[in-house]
Amino acid sequence: LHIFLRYLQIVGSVSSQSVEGTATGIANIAELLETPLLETQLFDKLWQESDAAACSLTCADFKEILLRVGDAQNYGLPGPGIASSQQRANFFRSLRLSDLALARACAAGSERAWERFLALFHQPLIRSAIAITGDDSLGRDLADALYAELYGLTTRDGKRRCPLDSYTGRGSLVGWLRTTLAQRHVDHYRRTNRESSLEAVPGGEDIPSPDLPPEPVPFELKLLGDAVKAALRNCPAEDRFLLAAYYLDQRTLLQIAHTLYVHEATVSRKLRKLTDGLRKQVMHNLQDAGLSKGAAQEALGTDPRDLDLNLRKVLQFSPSEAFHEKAVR
Amino acid sequence: MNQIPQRDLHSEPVHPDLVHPDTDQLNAFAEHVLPEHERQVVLAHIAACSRCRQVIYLAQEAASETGQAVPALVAAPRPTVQRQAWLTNRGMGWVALASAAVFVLAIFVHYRQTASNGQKAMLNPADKAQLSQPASSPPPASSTPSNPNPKALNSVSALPEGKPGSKALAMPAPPLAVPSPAARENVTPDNKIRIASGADYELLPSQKSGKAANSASVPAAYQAPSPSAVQLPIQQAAAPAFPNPANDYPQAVTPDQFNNAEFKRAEPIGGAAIATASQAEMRSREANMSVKSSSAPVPAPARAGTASMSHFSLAKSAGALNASPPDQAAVRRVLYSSLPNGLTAVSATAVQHHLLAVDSAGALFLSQDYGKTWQTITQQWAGHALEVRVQSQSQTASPTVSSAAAVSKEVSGGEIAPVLTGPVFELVTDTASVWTSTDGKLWKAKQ
Repeated sequence: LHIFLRYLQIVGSVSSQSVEGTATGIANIAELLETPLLETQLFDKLWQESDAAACSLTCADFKEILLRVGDAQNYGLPGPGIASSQQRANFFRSLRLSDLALARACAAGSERAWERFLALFHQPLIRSAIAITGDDSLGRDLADALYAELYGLTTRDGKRRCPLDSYTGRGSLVGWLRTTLAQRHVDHYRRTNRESSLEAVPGGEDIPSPDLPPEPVPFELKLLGDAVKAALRNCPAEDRFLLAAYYLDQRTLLQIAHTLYVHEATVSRKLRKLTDGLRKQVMHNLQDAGLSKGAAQEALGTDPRDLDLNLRKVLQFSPSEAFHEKAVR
Repeated sequence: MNQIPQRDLHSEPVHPDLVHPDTDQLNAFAEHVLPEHERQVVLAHIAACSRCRQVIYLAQEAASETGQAVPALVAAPRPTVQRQAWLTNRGMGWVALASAAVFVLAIFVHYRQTASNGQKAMLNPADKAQLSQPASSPPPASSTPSNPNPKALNSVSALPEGKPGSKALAMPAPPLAVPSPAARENVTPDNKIRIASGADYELLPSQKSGKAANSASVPAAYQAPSPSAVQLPIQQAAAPAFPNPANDYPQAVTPDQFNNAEFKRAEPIGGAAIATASQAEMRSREANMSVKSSSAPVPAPARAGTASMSHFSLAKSAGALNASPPDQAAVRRVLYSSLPNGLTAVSATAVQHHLLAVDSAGALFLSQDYGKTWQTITQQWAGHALEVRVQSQSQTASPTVSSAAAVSKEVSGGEIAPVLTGPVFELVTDTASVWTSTDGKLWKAKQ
């Protein structure tokens, strides 16, 4: 079945790529069909690395897991291309095989796997939950809730559902667990926050009030607002992330550098360059709107409090309210 | 085994308003193990989604607090590539190209300046040829056009290559000013020549008196060669046939040419015939051949800089009687080329293998081998030297002799034998004082 599906995928891919020269396409298909998706020698090596046998997984199960993960990620290729045997091998080698085997074995309900899982991740999971919530009891509650979820107590369509099935082995399993804890915590916070009064929310007084009937805005201020919006929305994704992380989320340069995996000085330099570019772009937009250079500079000197512009909304245009949201007006 | 609830990114692109990245993607992003294409998708999402940003922040903070391994930070991993790529970098490539262009431009400007200097010395071969035209050239045929070869006047391509001045010839020379009837009308009623620069130059007394003068003072026009600024000879109507500069250019003169017809035609003097020439005829020739800068002292401001060439002179004074064709050619050559100090000669004279030249700075040079080697003469006079010339001192002269034929006859008859002493060089300074020398080295003030 796998080979047939692979054949269909290859044929569809070749026809969609409009490969010049049918002979080349046929040769590629023949080559790919002749070579197994997971060579025996490579699989043996992966099997040994994964220690899947300790998690009560069979070779066939583990091979199927690998092929499904590879298919889902298209072996790490950016487009609908056909991965060569070397690309497939590289993709498989990049996976955290032991974590993947353990997670899938736990998702399958293997007792040995769960014992191994608890031995390896119980304490780290609790520490991470406490660190995320900032409270010991809340952290333990969060960890316990996640354990229950992971164990498959929740069902969908009468079928036991385990979140560990979504783990693909690209990152560490403990990292995946931390991220899952963080997601649950954020989601819980957002749910409970909607139900609480504004006075109970820290900084709730800064939450923007519902839209009021618009007041007449001076023409220059309207132009300035439009110019800022246009400049921000034309920014690349990474620039918008920098602005949001630094100015909205109040992250430090070091934290942003950790997130983007660059040096702290690089973040500082990028931010400086970005703000300079934004200022020029706003000036340009104002001049395009009909203001002279002097008038545009004067408009840029406007008190931000006079400007009816929610930068968070402009930057994020997110449908949902943000976590720890502070209005920037 | 349960089905993997995978969400293919390619078939279901992440949109900030639609769906959040799953836990696996967020974790891979936080651990920096996402492929670049997928990382951009997640980055675009978290740039707009505060919820996912907070998830990543919290996960990273938890990892750092629990001592879990978040991949260590490294500096930007591309400096080596950038260092290697500076030459191929487009920006740096433009800088290098601009530098090369500036370098080439500088060479071109330098070359132009060098050529311009060379052209100053040989600005108008027609004029110079006219200046150097021997007075004894046969008068033109009654209605012969004064310029028999206009094309030759406008072209200096006939000049030989590899000789001094050929460098300037290689450059695109501006059209040489050919004296034209219209230009001749630039002579003002007060006998001043009006040139394009607006300056008027007073004619020499000999020119005012209607004496034949083949040349006029060529002031700044020589310093700034401009086709419209070239001075015109006012006595062109009386001048002999306009010489062909290609033939008259001194660099083209070879020893064989000294025997050709033109030089013979210009050589009614010399030998025994010279000895019988009358002083009146000598003076007449002097008037025809030289620019009398000494008789019209140049104002002080005009002496320096560009005005130095206003004393341009072919000092074929009476001493020219003793000047052989090689001497004449040497004088022309030195006037067309530069002296050992790099300056151009403004006045030169030659007789009996002694070639004297005054440069634009007033320095005097002596050559005894037709300009091959030069000797700088120590200044023994006051002021700046402006002109050097030769004055022959005949102790006896027949007042009745007026023609070369007569002279020749008298010489052959042996009735009158004017005795010429050695040539006496005269040097005129800017203070209008005249200094004399017999060998060109030792100078004394003329009494």
